[in-house]
Amino acid sequence: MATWRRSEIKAKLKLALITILVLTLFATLALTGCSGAPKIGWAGSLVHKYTRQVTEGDQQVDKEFVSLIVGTVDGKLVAYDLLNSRDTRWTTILSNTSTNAVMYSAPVLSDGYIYVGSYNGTVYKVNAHSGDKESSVILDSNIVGGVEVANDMVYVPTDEGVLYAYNADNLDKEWQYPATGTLDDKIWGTPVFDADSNMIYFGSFDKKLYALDATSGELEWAFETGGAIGGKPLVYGDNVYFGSFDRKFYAVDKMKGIKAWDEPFMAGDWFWTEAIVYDSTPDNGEDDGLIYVGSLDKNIYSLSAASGTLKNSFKTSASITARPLLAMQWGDDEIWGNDDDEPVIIVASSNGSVYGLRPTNLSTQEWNTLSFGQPIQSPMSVYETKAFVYGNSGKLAAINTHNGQEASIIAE
Amino acid sequence: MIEIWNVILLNPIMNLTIVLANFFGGSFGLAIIAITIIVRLAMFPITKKQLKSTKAMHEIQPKLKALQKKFGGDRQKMSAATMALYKEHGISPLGCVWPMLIQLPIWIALFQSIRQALAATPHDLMALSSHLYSWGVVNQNIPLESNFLWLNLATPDPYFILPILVGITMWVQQKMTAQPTDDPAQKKSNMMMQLMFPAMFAFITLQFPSGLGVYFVVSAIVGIIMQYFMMGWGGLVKSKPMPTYKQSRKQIEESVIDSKVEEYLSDEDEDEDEENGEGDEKSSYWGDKKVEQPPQNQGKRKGRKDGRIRSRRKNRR
Repeated sequence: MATWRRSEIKAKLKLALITILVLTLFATLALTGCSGAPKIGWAGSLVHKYTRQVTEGDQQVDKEFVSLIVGTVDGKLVAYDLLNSRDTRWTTILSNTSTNAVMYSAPVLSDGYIYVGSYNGTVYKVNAHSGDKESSVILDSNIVGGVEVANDMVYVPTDEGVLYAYNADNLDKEWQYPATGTLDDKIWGTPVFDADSNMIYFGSFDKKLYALDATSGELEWAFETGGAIGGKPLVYGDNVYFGSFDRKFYAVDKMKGIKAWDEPFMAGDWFWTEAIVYDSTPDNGEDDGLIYVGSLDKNIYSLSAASGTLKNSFKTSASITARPLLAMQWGDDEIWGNDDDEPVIIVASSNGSVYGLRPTNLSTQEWNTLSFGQPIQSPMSVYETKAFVYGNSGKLAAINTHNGQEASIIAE
Repeated sequence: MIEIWNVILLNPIMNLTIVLANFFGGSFGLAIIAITIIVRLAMFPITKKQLKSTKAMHEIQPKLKALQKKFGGDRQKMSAATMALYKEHGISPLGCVWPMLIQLPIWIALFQSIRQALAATPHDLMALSSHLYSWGVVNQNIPLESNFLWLNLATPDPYFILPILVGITMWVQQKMTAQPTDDPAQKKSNMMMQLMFPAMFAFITLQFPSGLGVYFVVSAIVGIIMQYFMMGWGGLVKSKPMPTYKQSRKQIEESVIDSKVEEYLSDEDEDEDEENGEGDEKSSYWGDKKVEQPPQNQGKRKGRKDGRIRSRRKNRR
């Protein structure tokens, strides 16, 4: 009898184990997801300040509007009124299909229109006052990098490795680079236009930074690094500054495409975000500006724009993929804080911690860390003394730039 | 828990795959093939044990069939005799499950590393960055070259060639492993397994990045080769017809008579034998064939047992 029981138990155990194996396999497949389009992304926000004639009683009067326009994680554009109630002014669902128009870059404002590229391969042009969709263009490729609107054109980087230039007015194609075929890899970095050189600069996963004539799309030069380039370059002075997945941060002469520093700055992990510059010479004590850039190694670095020398750094609690923000701590009509009129560097890490740092000495925190409660990968925006932080789960909050306190939660 | 998983399994496999891609001139397709072969070879001792167990199961099928015929619906006796037979041939009923259990985490880690290393979306790439070692060779190879043959390894095969290959190779492997049986229910079950698994994996390949499909195909081909050298073509070629009842019985008598199966069965009839208490002729349990008497020095228990069998046979006469 005992033998029978043992054998029965073993047989049942075997069946159970096989069932567990199959279930585990399916659970793993489910957990790791499939290759379909992502359902949420991270976009960002911008502040739109404008004046418009409105009818009040019998009269046409000029009225000032200030809107915070947010590209939401689930593919919508939402405008909030920043002057009065912070109520929603309009909401536009970008995609007409069941698939969200997921965005991985902040919308761009130009001449009263918002331009944004979506992972579904569509570039949308939306009226910034009303939220009406004006036009769109559909590409055969996903769009991850942000669009750049300048020079009357919309520059669109694509996953297939082509940079398109469209007429900003009617979205007709002007040119593409390469003219035929594609680059060797994706373009996930946002391009940047420089009026001084009339060039458009963008990085590619083929490890090169390209400089094109912004009008004709002809190649001016290409600079090769040791890794993929995923962030937006910064043009400052005579140079273009950008980081790479080879963990190095480069400065390249914007006209000639040759290195501007003796050696690039080396971090502990990838650079995947745009740098910002603080060039108030008397304050920072440098002959040139200071470049601030975050890395996936959790640090934000302050580098001399002229030499690439590390000035100082601050280690956050997680990787940094959101562009840091330079903001004034106090408004013109407010009482200055203890540190007179020095601005604050606001940096958010991917685990949801937000820090306020002193630009001239990053190791000094202007205010204590704010725990936002959600990962932050979207670039922040600022209006007067409020910084707007958007989390990966849809929380949108205004925080005081002088103390880091949450002033209001606009959306959750 | 996830951290432990990542540190012990996922990260090493992922980084090794990327290093291999660098070795193959940046071809992630070749790296997948290489890492699959390396992992399958590293786990060969376990696979070997599993195949041996499967082979032994093949070999005892006639005996099992004979036992089934003998005991019919007596589940208790059938289970006991089956267990004894397994024990005698060194087969553990869970023998083929444990190797699978040990290999499963490695398969899953390999699966995850292939999927994450391809990083089709920014979310994937962000996740990937947290798994990479700070080796220059690793970081400089990201993102990996996703084009391989006609495939973009990060997306499903648009021509459906890979899912078909996955289905065929997995079917061949399943067919080679399948145990021949005359039991209609078992046959049906085998048939289901032979079709379900390949269909399931082909379906997965349709939906997932084709890099995983490459892994499935290579893994199945390596499995087929290992199986061929260990067990031949197995159920893939037309097997000999299953022995008839009489043939099976003869086999049992010839090879199992001294086994613990026999011992168990004879013990079952102990009471009956002791009541009859006689017999000078040794027979098998099946009672219709004389066999030579065992040597005297085989021990008292053996002699006693044979006596019981003999007496039982006499009674039947």
